Amino acid sequence: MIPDSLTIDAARSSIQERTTTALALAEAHYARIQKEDGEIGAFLTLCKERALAQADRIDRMAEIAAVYPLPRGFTGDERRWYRGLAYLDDSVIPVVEPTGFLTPEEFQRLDRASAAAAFQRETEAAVQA
Amino acid sequence: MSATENAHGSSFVLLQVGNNRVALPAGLVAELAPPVRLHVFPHTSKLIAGVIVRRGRIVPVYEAGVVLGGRRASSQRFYLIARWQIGNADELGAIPVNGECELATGEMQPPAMNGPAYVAGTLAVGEDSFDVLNLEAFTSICFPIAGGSLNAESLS
Repeated sequence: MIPDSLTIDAARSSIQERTTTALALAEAHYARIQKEDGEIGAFLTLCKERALAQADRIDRMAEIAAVYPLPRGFTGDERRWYRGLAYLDDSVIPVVEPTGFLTPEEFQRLDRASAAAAFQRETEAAVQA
Repeated sequence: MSATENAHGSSFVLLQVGNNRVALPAGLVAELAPPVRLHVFPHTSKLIAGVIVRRGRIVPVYEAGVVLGGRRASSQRFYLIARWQIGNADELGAIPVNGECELATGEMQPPAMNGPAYVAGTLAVGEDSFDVLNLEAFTSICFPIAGGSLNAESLS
């Protein structure tokens, strides 16, 4: 059973803290859709298999138990890009360091631009209304 | 243990890297691994082809053939995994080898005066002579050094 007020952030935290799984959440949502959408009619099409497959991928990502340090042989810019390497499903996956690509100033500029764009959209919507 | 320190030992592994047959002090060799999957991801480090996973460890693969012969190994048969000294730490690294590896014994002779830095010395086995690799110098080729960087061309 999923709470009505479950936000995306809360869902992510639950998966990270392993109190639930993405697969369980997806199945719970589909059960609720099946139960209630007859009255509401909110969904035109549903792709349950694709959603469950995606949820399974998310669960496997959440299972990454350890991030191994980047071997010292890597000395280029990738030391900024990656927090380390994860080994999952027979694949070595570089774990990205988000701040390795943008500086804090660039993040602030991006946030400001995003806020300005959101404000403009809201203003245009209000004018049209 | 560096190649120079290992010179007192007399066991070497002869390996085929590209068109070159070279030697490595046996004490530095950890394992000869089968050609397992090479994992590749974006990076900017010179001469690193990617990483392999061996016994639960992630091991970088160095394109030794580029340094020795100027070309990448097109069909390696094994990975020779050796202990590399990087800074103050030891780390495993792999070299693609494309021929038989064999153990040889002999005394390492000093390198030629004008020889490349990655050659620690010369090993005579029978009538043949092999360059003994200096992995520390290899790392200086692969890894930029503070205050300047060495590259394959400058050391060959």
